[in-house]
Amino acid sequence: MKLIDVQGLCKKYPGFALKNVNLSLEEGYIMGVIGRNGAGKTTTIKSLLNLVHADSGLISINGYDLQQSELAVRQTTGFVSGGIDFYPQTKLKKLTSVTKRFYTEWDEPRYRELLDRFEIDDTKKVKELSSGMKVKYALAVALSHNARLLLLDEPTGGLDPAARDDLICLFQEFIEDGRHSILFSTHITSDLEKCADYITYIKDGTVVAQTETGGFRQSYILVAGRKDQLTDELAGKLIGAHRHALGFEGMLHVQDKALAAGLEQSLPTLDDIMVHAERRN
Amino acid sequence: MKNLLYKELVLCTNVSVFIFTLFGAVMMIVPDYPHYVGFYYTTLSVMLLFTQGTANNDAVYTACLPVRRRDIVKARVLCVAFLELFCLAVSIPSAVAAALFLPGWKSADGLPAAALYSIVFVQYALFNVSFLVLCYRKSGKPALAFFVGSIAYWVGFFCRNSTHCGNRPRARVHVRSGRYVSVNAPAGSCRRDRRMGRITAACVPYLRETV
Repeated sequence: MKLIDVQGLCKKYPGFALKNVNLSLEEGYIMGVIGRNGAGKTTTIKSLLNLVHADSGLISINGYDLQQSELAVRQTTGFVSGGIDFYPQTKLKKLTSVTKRFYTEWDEPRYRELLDRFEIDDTKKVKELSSGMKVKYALAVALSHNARLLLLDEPTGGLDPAARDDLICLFQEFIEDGRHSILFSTHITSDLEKCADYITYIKDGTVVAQTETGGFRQSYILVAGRKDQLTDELAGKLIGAHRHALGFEGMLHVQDKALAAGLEQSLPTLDDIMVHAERRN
Repeated sequence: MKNLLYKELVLCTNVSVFIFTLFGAVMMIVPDYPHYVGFYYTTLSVMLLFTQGTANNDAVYTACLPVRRRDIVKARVLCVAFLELFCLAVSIPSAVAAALFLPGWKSADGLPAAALYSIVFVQYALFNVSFLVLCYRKSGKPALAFFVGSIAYWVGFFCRNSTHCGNRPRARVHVRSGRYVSVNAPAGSCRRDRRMGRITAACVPYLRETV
């Protein structure tokens, strides 16, 4: 069953437009959304919960049509947007006591377990939490109402490497029963390499790639060479080429691999792919 | 809706909101104080409710909850009504206590209780219809909405003044249809009464258009 099925999503703002975005995610998988700042990642994720009203397009989440069953979508979806920036003077205990009333399947033991795991003291006020702890609290709430789908917008931004690793383990536990899925956007693409099954790459409001993580990386090669090795044909095919005093480096589609004979070659990371694709020659 | 109301009262309404709400009631025990002024403090508490909501980013928090948008607005409006009714409810025992236990206590405006409360209801209605509508239309500008709401509130106060016309014939405002309002001012009626009738008649279509 598809937990996310988006077809032809469009949203226009002055100076920016999300153009014909199609997304699809089966249950039991993690999908990462990458793209530079302002590419449309947050707008896409918010559209999936109607926090941003799409101009056109069909959105189905957890089997519910978003326009007809918005409440059911929200009951079965957890959303975390880079921590919490509301009610700074309120204690977490009080905030949770209000929040949990809205969810029909609130799981209090699970919430307590997550607070212990993240070492969150719920007698603290929101303003007393570090940005990493805010993310953890928001995740604890999102994971405690039996959501089938998690939508995470930059969830690992303020976390230290150990906390990020713990979080990735948690994500993998979340989906391992094959009934849950996660869609998350991040700039820390190394996190996606560890856990994402699929990658969606958004550039200027358009989905330019949506594929398996491994396959996505293997569809490109990084090349580097001396100045005299840079032929006109190679220069025409290089993506995000960078010339320097000693030579050049850039990225090639794997189908152009023949042009890379004699050059240094390596498998690009997601970071490399994004940097080269976004680099202006 | 029950959960949203709970959220409004537990998260959005803090001590300062209740302090201003209780002012209207407490002012009842001040001798020679114009009581309709005391009730004005509740409108400050209503504005505080909105400004604190903005400061606490309440819109973002509530938008992420599994609730309908129209219910969010309904809950806030019900919370405002609760604060106003709470102020009126508490003012009654404090007025009775003042009349019983404070020697020489009297009201500065000299209105009988029922008239005072009916005027305050009208004032609150005028405030709510202006303030709430503007607050949601001009999101993020509660101070502007409060300014307009206060003007509407004091239009109600002038209506109250028009009750001091002795035994002269009263001007009456007739709402003939949804949009058409007329003023019937018989010969010999009080000038102030006629003026207030016209102001009220002018307000009705404006309020209808705003809503």
